[in-house]
Amino acid sequence: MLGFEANDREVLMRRVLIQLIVMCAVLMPGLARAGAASDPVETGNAVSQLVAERAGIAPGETIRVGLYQDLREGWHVYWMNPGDSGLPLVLDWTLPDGFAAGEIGYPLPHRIPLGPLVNFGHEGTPLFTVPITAPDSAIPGEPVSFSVEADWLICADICIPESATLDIVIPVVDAPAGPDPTGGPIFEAAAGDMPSGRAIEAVWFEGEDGPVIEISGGVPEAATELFFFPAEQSLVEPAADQIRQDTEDGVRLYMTSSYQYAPAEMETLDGVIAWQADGYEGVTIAANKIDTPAGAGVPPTAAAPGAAADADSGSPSPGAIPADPVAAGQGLLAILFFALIGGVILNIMPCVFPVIFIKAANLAQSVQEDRAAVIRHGLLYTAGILAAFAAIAGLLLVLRAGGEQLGWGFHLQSPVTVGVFAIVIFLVGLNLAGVFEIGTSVQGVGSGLASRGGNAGAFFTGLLAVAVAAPCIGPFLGVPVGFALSAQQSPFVGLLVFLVMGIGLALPYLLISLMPGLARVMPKPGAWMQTAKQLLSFAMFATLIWLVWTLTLQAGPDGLVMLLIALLIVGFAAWAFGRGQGAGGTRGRLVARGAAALALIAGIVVVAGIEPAPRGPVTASMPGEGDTSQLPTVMYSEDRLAELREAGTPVFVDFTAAWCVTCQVNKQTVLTRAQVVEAFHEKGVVYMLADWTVQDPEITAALEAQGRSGVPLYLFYAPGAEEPDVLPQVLSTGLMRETFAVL
Amino acid sequence: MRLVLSSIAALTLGFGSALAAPEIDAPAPDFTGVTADGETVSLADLEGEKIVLEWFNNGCPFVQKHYESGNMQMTQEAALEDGFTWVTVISSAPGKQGHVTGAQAQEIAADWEMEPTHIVLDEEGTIGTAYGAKTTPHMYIIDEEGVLSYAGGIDSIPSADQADIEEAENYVLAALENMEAGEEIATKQSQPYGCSVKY
Repeated sequence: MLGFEANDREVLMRRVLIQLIVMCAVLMPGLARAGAASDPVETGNAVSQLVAERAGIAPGETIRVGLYQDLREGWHVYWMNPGDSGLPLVLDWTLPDGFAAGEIGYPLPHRIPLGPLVNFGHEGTPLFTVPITAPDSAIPGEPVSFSVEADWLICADICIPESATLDIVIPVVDAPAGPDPTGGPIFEAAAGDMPSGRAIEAVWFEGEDGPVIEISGGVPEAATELFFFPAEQSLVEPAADQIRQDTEDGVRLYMTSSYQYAPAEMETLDGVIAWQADGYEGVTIAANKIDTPAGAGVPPTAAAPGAAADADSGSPSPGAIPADPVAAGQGLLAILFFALIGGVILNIMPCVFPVIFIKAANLAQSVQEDRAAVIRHGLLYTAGILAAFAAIAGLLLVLRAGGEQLGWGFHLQSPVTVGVFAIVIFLVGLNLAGVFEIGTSVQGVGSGLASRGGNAGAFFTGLLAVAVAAPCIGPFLGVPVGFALSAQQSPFVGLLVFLVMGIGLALPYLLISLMPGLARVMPKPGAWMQTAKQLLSFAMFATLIWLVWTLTLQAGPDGLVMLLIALLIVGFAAWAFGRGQGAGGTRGRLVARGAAALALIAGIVVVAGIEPAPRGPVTASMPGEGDTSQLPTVMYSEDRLAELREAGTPVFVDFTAAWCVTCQVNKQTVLTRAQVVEAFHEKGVVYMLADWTVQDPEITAALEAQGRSGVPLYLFYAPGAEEPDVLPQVLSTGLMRETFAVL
Repeated sequence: MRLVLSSIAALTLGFGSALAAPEIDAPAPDFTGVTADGETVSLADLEGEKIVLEWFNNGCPFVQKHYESGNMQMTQEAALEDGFTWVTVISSAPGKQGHVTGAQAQEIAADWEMEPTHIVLDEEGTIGTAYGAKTTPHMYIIDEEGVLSYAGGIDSIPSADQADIEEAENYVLAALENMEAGEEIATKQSQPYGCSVKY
């Protein structure tokens, strides 16, 4: 799944190239006639064409012809073993006397998950090749016609059988001909999608749960997502994880048998082994049976979740349907319980600090209100939190359903959103500082208006708490958030998890506001309240520093300048609005408010113009030899991680984002502490930085592979360990020492 | 806390396992489902009866192949004559192809001249998962003892082409004949083929 993007781009480029070539051929009629290719036939979900690799066929010669298909986006056709469902291509040839067609050569298969099922197939522009041999008696100078009736099943989530009859005419030539102008380039471009002919040493033996394939040499050391596609259907379960074990000079894959598996009668195990290294590669193998080596019948660890799940498909996990529905029900209950606890704990996470200050200001204000108003505010605050969770989680679920690679906190990955929040926080600060009032009339405090203002304020604080602060993942929340966003969850279950988390977040304040006698606990109203409010405004400005910093990382100096200009304009708006409130006449007030409204709009327009800066060379640098003052940092990439793990280097992966305050607190208080940095150098641990400040599909995918969908996430890969150690969201130096103690 | 977290993680990630087929010649997995007419039916209710289970999706071309040709109705008739209970299971999830309400299911059954004893609406896929149903159609036979006696395709030629039916061996009919004659079923398991079940 990781590295998928690059691979995808490659496929796309190849596809564009092929289409260009085909277009050129069609545009040049002379050339097109010279080339042996059938007319393309469109069948609804595919465009198919019969092409030849060479411009002619000599008597006794074998050339390849191919069925070249351009499949509708999101649709797939099947490999020789289609997996859990589907059908492979069927070709029925009509050839001149003496000519013979061979077996279909398939491109490398891909895993295509559909719920709990997995198919093996092809997307994009597959080329199915067939060798055709001419008889010795073929007469040069005479063209021959090859006709094929092709039947295939093409599926997205639904399936449609399609078929086409295709003909090509090929000249019989004296001596082997050069590449065909149409087909030659198509064959050449498709070569990279075919299993390589490289000889690779492979054997298989009977394992406890099914066949085990053992390969020595031939597979690159950095290969990941190794998967064996058996040629025959139902020998192994297509959707089951294939558990990898590295041996001295190769690798074993433990598979789960299916009903056709009859080990006593099987001599060879045929198929294709594929992996990710420099893109997606694979080799055809025919493995001979050996006796099960002593002690090798059982896979190394019982389960490596996601080991095969993250093969080349786009979906995070192949299965959704719980094996046991009762356990799943209990699972959901447990998830909801942790979401609630996690929501409560979120209140003391650094992420939510800014909002705690606003809430404190609200509470201070509430001492002068009656109990009914306090309870109402508590409920409205809860409503605000729930509304924000529903809105953000709902939007996220919709975007993800549309195929976006996004995770929890995605909205803060946009500099415009960060800019808007900066404006909002700035306005809240100015309000607390007394530059302007909300909900007060010119004449002073009208009690009705004031309480209305309090209502809106309570709701708004709830909204803000979630929008600005909750995107960090707190303790207990990693699993529920990952669960809620996993592709197979019904959106309602997902929303439910977020809403329960929201209830948890609101709970402490809700309880306080429901507590009778709150006013008695709080100090008497008085002048101190004004002072407290003004003091709290500085907490808002401190929050502003964080947002400005985040935006600078996302949008660079240009974005920073635009944000500062926007803040200047908005500051003016607040001042004008405040002046209007103090002004005597109706006209003065209207002018001031008009000016304020205009300035506010202008400020937002400026912010809306901020564009993400291209990510320049990031601060990842291995410190020089012997320099132990900095963390030994490398930027995250799946390939790099695989390499390091292969080499037995311990790796600490820090999934972080500028907008995640908890992440920053961990970094400042633990990760960059001298003793921790020293420990990294002493133990030879590489610090791998996965920065999610702006959207990054590779990192989103990596988070999802851990069942997470947000930051912070800290992983520690001990040398040789199959699975990383997942550290808690709040780090400490003691914890780091403990973690590194295994080295 | 980490222990709790990792056990939860194991619980949720465990969902990613493959659909495991139930064992042949072993007791069939129990199931309980709601039928198209709103009643509840379970394997326990059908104790002592011979049962054919048929996975169904009216939008699937492979299902259409066997109904438009009359092949499935013919098989069904033979089974009912032999005293079998025929249970048609629809495991399509809401919003997916083939997902229907009870009324719609009954309408399709009438239009297509189907005569199942029950149509079970399994929109959560619970029964499909228990039986490892992968395709539509996917056929199962359970004997009077509640033992799973056959699992696999309707016949031996995997295609969507009606013309192939004549050539193909109908495994369900063959198994019915074996059972009627008191013989061992010749083919107890075969490759199911068709559309994926729309879980």
